[in-house]
This record gives sequence, C-alpha cells and structure tokens, in this order.
Amino acid sequence: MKLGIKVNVGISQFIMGAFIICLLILSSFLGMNTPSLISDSIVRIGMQMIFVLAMLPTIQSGIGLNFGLPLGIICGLVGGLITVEFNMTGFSGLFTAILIGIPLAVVVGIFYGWLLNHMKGSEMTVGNYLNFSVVYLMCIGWMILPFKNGAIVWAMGEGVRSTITLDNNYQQILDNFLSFSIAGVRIPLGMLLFDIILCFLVWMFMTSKTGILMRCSGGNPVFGASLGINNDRMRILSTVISSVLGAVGIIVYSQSYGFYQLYTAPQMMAYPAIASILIGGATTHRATIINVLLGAVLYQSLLTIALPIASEILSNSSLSEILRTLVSNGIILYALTKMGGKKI
Amino acid sequence: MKADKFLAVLKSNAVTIFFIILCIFSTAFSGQSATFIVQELVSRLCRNSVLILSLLMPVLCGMGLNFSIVLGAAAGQIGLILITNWGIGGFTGMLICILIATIISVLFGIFSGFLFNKTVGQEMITGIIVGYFAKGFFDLIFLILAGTKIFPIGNPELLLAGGVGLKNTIVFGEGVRYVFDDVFKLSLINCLLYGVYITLAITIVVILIHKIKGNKWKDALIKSKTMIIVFSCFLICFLLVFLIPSLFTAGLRTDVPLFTVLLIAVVCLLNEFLCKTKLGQDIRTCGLDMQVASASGIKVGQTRIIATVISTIIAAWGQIIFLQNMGLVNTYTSHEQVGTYAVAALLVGGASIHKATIKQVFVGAVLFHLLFFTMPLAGFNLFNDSQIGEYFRVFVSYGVIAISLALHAWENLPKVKAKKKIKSDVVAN
Repeated sequence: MKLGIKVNVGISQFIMGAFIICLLILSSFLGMNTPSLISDSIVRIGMQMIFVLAMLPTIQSGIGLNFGLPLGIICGLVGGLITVEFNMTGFSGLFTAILIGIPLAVVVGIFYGWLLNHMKGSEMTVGNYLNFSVVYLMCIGWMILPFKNGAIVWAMGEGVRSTITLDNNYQQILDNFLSFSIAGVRIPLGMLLFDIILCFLVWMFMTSKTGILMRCSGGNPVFGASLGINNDRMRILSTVISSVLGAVGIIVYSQSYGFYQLYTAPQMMAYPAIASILIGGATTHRATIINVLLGAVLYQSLLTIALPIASEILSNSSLSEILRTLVSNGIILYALTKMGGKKI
Repeated sequence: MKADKFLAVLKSNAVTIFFIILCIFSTAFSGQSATFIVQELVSRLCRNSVLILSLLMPVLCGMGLNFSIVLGAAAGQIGLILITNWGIGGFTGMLICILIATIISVLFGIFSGFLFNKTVGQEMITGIIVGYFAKGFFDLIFLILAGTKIFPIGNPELLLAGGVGLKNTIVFGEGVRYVFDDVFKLSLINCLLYGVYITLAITIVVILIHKIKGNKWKDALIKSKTMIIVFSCFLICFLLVFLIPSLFTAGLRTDVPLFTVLLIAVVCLLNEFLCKTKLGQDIRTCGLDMQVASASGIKVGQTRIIATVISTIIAAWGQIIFLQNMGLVNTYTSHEQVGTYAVAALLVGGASIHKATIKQVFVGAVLFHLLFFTMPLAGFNLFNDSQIGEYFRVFVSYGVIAISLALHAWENLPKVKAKKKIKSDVVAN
C-alpha cells in the first residue's frame, strides 16, 4: 500500500501489451502506415484518459462503475456551448468552458450521489437508466435552450446543431500545444500533460486523509462507520469528483476531436471508459491510478490498432464497430462475474 | 384513518397514477379521433403483451427485471429470418419457426442464467450488458457471416448487394405476415359483448360450484370474487363503448385479432400453471430467500437458470407475434429495445423488482403504449415539433425505469435498516 498505489496488474495485462506490439509489427508487414496508427492511438488515449480517470473515485467509494458519467459530460457540454456562444477562442475559451462546467457538475454530482445513496445495491442499474433518461431530457433541452449564435443553432428550424465545429474557437488547442514529432509519430504533449496533471491531482487526493477515508469506507462501510466516517458523504464526494472529471473530460475530448457532439451522442460514452479501467486490471470495487493509466493505454491502442488491421485482413469496414461492441461489453461482463457477492 | 389509507394507496401506486394522468393529457392533446386511438391501442396491446409477460418468471425468482429478454427476441427473429429464407409460410412455417426459436432461446437462456448465477444481486445490470454484448454477436453473424459458407443464405433477396450480410429490413412473405392476426377477426364491440356473455356464464358456473360444495350463498359469492371482478370489467367496458357515440364507432371499426388474443391467454395460463407446479413453488422460494431454499434442498442455481430459460422462450414467442404483426423485421435493431420497453411497461403497471402480476402487465401495456404513440402527436400539437415528443417519450421510458427502481429502493430502505438492526441485536445478545 506504499504511496497508495497497490499494483494489481496481472499477467493478462502483459499478454495484452505483447499482443499490441505484435499487431504493430504485423501492421508494418501488411504495408499499413504504422507511425500514423501509433499517433492515432496516442491521441485517442489522451482523449479518453480523463473519462477513465472519472471511474476511479466511484469505484473507491464503493459505488462501483459509474454508468452515470454522461451526467457530468452534459455539464461540460453546456459549459462548452456557452463559450462558443460568446465566440471565445484560444486557451481563455477552453478554460472558461471548464470553469463553467465544473460548478454545474458539482451540483449534478451532489444530486446524483444523494440519489444513489438511497438505492445501495443497485447503483449501476439505476445509474445507467438515469443517464439514458437525462440524455434524452437534455435532447429536449438542446432544442429549447436560448442559444443565438449562428455557429450553434440550426440555420433553419429550432434548436442547437447536432455537431458544433470548433474550427474558429479552440480546435486541437491542447493537442497542438508543445506537440512534436518523432519518427513520424506525432505526440500531442499538451493534452497528455493535461491528463497527467489531472491524474496526479486525483492521486494526490486519494493519498490525502480524505481519500484514504473514502477508500476505507468504500472497502468496508461497516468498518468505516465504526471509525466515524460519514459513508454517505464520502459517496457523494466521489460522484462529485467523477462528474467534474466527466465535464472536464468532454471538453478535452471535444477540442481534440474538433466538434461538440450533442443530443444522443453522450449516451454511450461511459461504456468505453468502464471497459478501459476494467481492462487495466481494476475490479468493480478495487482500482488504482495505475489501472487507469494502463487501461486507457491498452484499451484505446488495442481498438485503434487492432481494428484497422482486422478490417484490412477481412476487408469489411463494419467489422470494427462490431468488434468494439463485443470487446467492451465482453470485458464489462467478465468483470461483473468476478464481482463476488453472494454465492449460490 | 380513511385519509391515511387513501394516501397509502396513492403512495404505493404513485407510478401508475402519474402515468394515468400523463396519458389523459397526452391523449387529449394528440388531437386524434377515438377510432384511431382505440385501433392503435388494440393492435399494440396484442403485439406487445407476450413480451411483457416474459418478464414475470425472473421477478418471481428474485432476479429482478430480466433485461436479457433481448436474447429471446433475437432468437425469435432468427427463426423468422430462417423460414423466410427457406420460403415456407403458413402454419407449418410458423410451427417450424417457433420450434427453432425455442431451441435457440433455451441455449441463450442457459447462457444468461449461468451469468446471472455468477452475478447474484447484480442481475439487472448484467442483463443490460448481456443485451449489448448479444447485439455485437448478432451483428457479427448477420452482417459478416450471413451469406458465406459458414451461414449460407440461399435467398439472394435477403442479402445486401455484395452477397454477404443481411439487408437492414427484411419483409416477410405472404405466409408469415399477419399469419396469426388474420385467422379470425371480430370487431371490438362484438368481442366485448361475447366477453360479457362468456364471463357471465363462467361466473355463474363458479358460484354454483361453490354453492354445491356446501358453502352459503354469501361465501360462494366471496370465493368467486375474481371472476365477478373480471365480469364487471367486461360489462363496464361494454357499456362505455355502447353508450359513448365516438367510442361506439371506434368499437365497430376496430378489429380484434382473436387468435392472437387466444395465444396471449395461453401464455398467461401457462404462466399461472407453472406457478402452481412444484417448479413454480421452488422458483417462488428462491425468490423469497435463497438460503432457505438451498437449506430445504432446492437446487437454487438450477432453478434460477430454468426461470431465465422460461423467460427467454416466452420472449422469443413474443417477438414472433410482434413481428408477424409488423410484417417486416429491422434485422439489426428490432430486438435492441425490446428489453427496455417491456421493462418500462411492466413498471408503469405498478410492478416492482420483487413483485409483478399479470394484471400489472396489462395495465402497464395499455398505459405505456397509449403514451408511446400519443406523445409525439401531442408534442407536435403543443410545440409544433414532433421531435420534442419523440425525445420526451424515450426520456419517459428510460426515466420510468430509473425512477421506479429508485422509488422501490426508497420504500425498502427502512425495512432493510430494521432487518439489519434486528440482526445486530441478535448478535449482541
């Protein structure tokens, strides 16, 4: 437990890593552009890292996998849209979006945590359906929110566009910041640094007194209560942190992607993040920052490298989407069966 | 005291009452004629009831709402696609289809039951993920393998232009479309009239049997309470339809597919019958307390798998009934939302994850599907935009699941706390 990092990385993670390296070698034999594959996967790792990180607090506080991550994501989207509405550009736009998103996410996180405290035992099911319903409620919201800027609203009809381009605002501003290339591989250092800083902050929090109390109450609520920890408050704190990370995550994701995706786009965004942290060696009630880093790297590079290769070999473009569904849901299923709980 | 009782009834039926109000509003604002609404409602009720009925067994077994009926629905689809491929229709075709679907759904049911046994206490989220996983699996089979040597499809009309992968929409042949619905149709008003006659006859017979058994008249009446309620329901419905002019026209113009109704009744009876057998009692015991069940010699794991298999099979039949009424199948999406909509409908009917009855199935089906098709119309009339109504109905169907799960967890919280307290007191003593 030194430094709060318990390395629960197993042999499977090493096998996966070796598999990815084999795939890279294979890709160069197939005549594909290996450096661009690596660049793609690094960008995707950077984009998804914060979502994966958002799973950590809720797992540690005993809530389990946070299927309600899109609640935080929507807060970030609102913040982002407000900056586009006022034509804010550059870093000031990016950070204003984050600063607007965070307080919203705090409020949403408190409400979400309070709700989850009333349904211990089925947090994941309720979180999942709460997420779906709020996404659709916000679909109505996007249609009636009073945005005026022509870049946001449809030219004809009512409501916000379904994708909003960030061309004129802060497209890839973090990616391009301090970015450099080695041997044809472009490394978006700014975005990676931002991710690492956030990971570091969360790690700092987890090793602080509050963080250790949270882990304690999550691991054994009865023991936590006997120590005088307010379990419910710890769980609310964890959903708040998770939602805030979701809000920040979507802004970083979108600046790299170049678009804000609205309407039903956030609905399924929790699943890749969940699969990532699980593939990194976490379980539904135990996770560390190492699992987050490893999971983001393994899952994203597996998908971005393996899928083009699979499509190349089988020459079928729809295969990659199918494999992605199978892989991510298969991992979640596997983790659920390893959850323990009552035995028959 | 009476006010307290009234409030308690209100509280325990909060979800249903909320939906009744919502239905009244959205029907009023939809601006449609009574004929249209009654026709839609009858056809949707016939289409969806069996799918919702399939959820009952796992609830009884204490596994909560079985979201993995998606697998059963997919099995039904596979059966239909296969008979369309072979070009057989009619009742022989449907029998073969049902047979194939049943065999496949037994396998699927064993698979998901096995997973549920590994994830006791988290069956619902497991069911949801199994559904998503299965979607990937079916896409793999139908999009990548169909038409190749592994899974040959002889009928080129079903395949995409490239010769591999099924088309997005497969239209069934004449022998499959409406095959159950067209057997025997009767207008709604006649159905209600015959319903009144038949239930009256049955009620009298039941009362007489009780009387002959040596009960007093009063006891005989009390003992046949259920039949009397069913009879009065039919009578009230008939009178309403007969006396209100707009409903009268609707009743004349609406055709009820009696054979489909018969199939639904058979599934209901099958469910009731299973509950009364030894197996049903075992399932019920597992649902009450797994430790007690295993202590009394019931193989809990096996019983839970059987309950899942039954649910999956009924879902497969439900999907076949659903699709023969639609006349076509969206190969990649038809089964996707089956679980969510069925669960939402059941919950709207007032069911919880611990208790669900056949009555709740039908109440839920009526309310949920009434809302389901009036909402976009009402949205269009109110906001001049049907998209808002569309979003609102999806929001409602997901929201009702989240909210009613939350409400039930809330109600049970004091009980759980009390139970824990008793346990700790016992330990302390």
